[in-house]
Amino acid sequence: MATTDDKLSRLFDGELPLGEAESLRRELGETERAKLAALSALSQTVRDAVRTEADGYDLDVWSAIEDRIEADVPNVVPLRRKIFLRTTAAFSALALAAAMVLVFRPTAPRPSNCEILELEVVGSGATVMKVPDEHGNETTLIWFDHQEDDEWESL
Amino acid sequence: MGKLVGKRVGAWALFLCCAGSPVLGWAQTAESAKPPKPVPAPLDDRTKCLVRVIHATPQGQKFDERLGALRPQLTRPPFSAFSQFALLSQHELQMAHGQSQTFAVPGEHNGTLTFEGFQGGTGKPRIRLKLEILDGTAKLLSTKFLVNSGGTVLQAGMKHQNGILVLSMTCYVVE
Repeated sequence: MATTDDKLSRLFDGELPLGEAESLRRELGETERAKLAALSALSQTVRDAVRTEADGYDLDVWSAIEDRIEADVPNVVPLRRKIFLRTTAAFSALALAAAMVLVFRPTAPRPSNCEILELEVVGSGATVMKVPDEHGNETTLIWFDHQEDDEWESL
Repeated sequence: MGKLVGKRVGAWALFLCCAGSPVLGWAQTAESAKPPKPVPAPLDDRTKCLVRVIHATPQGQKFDERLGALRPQLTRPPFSAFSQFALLSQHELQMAHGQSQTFAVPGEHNGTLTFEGFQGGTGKPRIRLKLEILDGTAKLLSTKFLVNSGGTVLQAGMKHQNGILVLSMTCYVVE
């Protein structure tokens, strides 16, 4: 029985069902056996050629993969630690801001706490008053309403 | 790995700030709560006064930027009747105990400031000064006052060119 080359090739590659393959092997003639032997020899030759070529290179696949794993390792932080870090950072930032306010808080101008001990003026008199500022401090003001053409005499 | 270590170090640094700030605040509060210590009189018995002669007028809107430190006072009553303030002159006077310094006041007047010494006590020493405004040898005003170091005293009301003159005296203890 004539066997097509396609069927022979599938037999060689082990692609035929087991029963069909056994049946076909029993029926193979001299020519088909020679073709199978040629296919086997060709396959062996190709494998040998590839192995010879590969042996010429120092091929260490695992090392290459291992290097990639080390290089590309993602920065994995456990969720609990991540939350802890974020909470600590937030509280610390708030505390730092509070410390900055304490240290660098705007200082109010010094109160003069002025005390008038004596006051003498010529003319119509003088008034002592306190002028407050926005910090609640008071500055003493001596208001002396003197006219340039006032009649006056020396104290 | 390095990034993770950096984050940990940063977190601990911030944590230390967190822990340190209440301590800092407590330290400041404790400092302010301390009873005042008696302050000895300054070794160098001298005072330094900055006298500013200011012209205030009801016309105009310019506020001399060199008077920024006095803006809170000059923009409140009784100065709110004036809208323009110009610094005519300023004098830095340094005086030893009992010494006087004279400065020019517009209107052919003179001002004399006399340092009469420090007055101690439990707080910071206060500066005792005498101010006289003179027309020739005649006194128009004579006053004695005590003021804290760094404190300011104002004198105002003398008429001058459609406005008034304001004298500002800020005095310090010379350390």
